[in-house]
Amino acid sequence: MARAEEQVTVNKPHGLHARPATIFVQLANKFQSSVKVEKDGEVVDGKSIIAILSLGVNKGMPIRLIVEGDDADEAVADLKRFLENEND
Amino acid sequence: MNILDYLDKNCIVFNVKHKNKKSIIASILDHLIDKNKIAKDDRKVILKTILKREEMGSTAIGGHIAFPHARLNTVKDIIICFCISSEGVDFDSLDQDPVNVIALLLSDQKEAGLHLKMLAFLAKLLRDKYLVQRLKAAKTSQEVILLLEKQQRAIA
Repeated sequence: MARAEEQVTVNKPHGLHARPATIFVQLANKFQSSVKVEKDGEVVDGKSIIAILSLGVNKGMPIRLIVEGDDADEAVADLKRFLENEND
Repeated sequence: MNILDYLDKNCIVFNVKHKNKKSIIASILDHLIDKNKIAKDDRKVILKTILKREEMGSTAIGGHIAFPHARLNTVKDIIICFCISSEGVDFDSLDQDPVNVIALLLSDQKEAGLHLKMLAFLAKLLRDKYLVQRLKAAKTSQEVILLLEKQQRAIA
């Protein structure tokens, strides 16, 4: 199974909070691959809004995307593009 | 972070009237006015700000919970109010399921950092679906406080 990992800096003005977290999860759910997000050693399910919110990711913070599945490369690229873009 | 530094046991309500999202939030605000947490004159602007945020995307993110929130000039520090509904309310949730636990957060406009930190902390507490089930069944403020206290220790 394909696996892709990437360190990403979150550029959303309010970090990965309520609305951007919801959009992130909607995007992650478009892929078959499993998506995990790591911050400071804590790894959570990237397809769960509450899990993403609980990380408390602010603007400028680095996180790691860990994606496993047939569409892993595409998923990482799309999620990274979203996180690095200031706009939703 | 300790939620009990911010959550007053007077700010836990049970089974509010529920026609829709607006009436639920209005009932919670009326409770906060009753407990002298917010001023009656600010009710309208607070309600409007919360609903405007909800229009951008429901804070009922699934899993039977919701986090309506707003930052306002008229609020000092942070106010948290827990609203428990054993039968569940229609809160326009992303998974269409009824909501049993509403954690309403109001912060001072100036407290952006603390506001986001508190939202993340609430999410960290409530991401445990078993806690949500236990909160749903709680009947008293004391029970809610004890459950949150225990959860807080478990995740620390």
